Amino acid sequence: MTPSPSPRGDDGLDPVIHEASRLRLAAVLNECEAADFNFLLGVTGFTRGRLSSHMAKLTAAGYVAERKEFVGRMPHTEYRLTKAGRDAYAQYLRDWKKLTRPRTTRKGG
Amino acid sequence: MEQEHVAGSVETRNQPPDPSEAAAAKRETQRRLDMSRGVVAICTGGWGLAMAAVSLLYSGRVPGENVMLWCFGVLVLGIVVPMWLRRVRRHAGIPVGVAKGELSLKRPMRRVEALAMLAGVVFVVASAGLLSILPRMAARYTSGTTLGAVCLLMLIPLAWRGLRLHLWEHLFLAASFVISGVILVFLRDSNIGWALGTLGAGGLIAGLSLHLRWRRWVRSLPKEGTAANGENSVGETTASEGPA
Repeated sequence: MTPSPSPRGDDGLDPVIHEASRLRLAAVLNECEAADFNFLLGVTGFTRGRLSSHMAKLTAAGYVAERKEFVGRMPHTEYRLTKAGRDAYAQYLRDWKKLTRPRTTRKGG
Repeated sequence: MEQEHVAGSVETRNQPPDPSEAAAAKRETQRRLDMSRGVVAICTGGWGLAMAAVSLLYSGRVPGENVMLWCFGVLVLGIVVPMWLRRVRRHAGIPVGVAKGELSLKRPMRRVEALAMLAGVVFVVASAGLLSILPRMAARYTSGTTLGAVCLLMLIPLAWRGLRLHLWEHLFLAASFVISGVILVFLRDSNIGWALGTLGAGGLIAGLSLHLRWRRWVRSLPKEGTAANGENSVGETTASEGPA
């Protein structure tokens, strides 16, 4: 089942990405396309629990595809930004720019 | 369900987002990826030094064999470098997807990288052509200035990337390009060899430094079953570890 796109918040921003940690994770994954759990830990400096929970939310939203396998006895998890995730991230950045762009006021208009 | 359990097991407070943090994370990733590209600089630097040796052996003249050697080097680099790069990255848990992504033209961001790669190929081919034709056809001053200008052009992207990602290796490489450019502007028969040698040595030093940085960082990554980074120690391993 394909997850439905997350509803927008009052400010028009995607609530899944509109969170500091998830925004960072989306930025990292968008840059390197796919990465495993340890790489993400190393780049972001998050704790394992924090990383797991945020990745779970991104996965549940359908923004990240997760692939789990065992290498020997150890689990190995690889994350990849889906097309929906890439689009959502790009859209979020566009929306953010729109929101933060200073509005021009015209005199006598 | 499992995901919900994971999400629910750790309390995560929503923090106000800061796009500058996203930009910093993006920069940090680029920095790591650039470190992994040290192997590219090592291979290219070694090849540059070999070409310099051949060129100096021929007293600076660039015969047809030299150009053939140049093209053969490009071909070998094109095979060896991606294989080594892929291996190096797999050790840090960036899987093969990255290599695929870099070659994909579907994504706008990757299109930029593909264009950069194309520009690199054009640069190498143009340099080979210029090295073989210019010293014969044009006056020394003209050919020297042209070759020097090509080198000086490389200063802009390298210096920009070095300053942005805080990697002195890029600045070092940019400096070696400048020195080579200056050497080529004052073109004499033996100068091509020295210019190539400068570039080769610069590439080798910068590449080795980048690669050592990368290895140090990969070693500092949490290993399987350790709680290096806090809370729940879920055993995670990189793809390269453990018996396959």
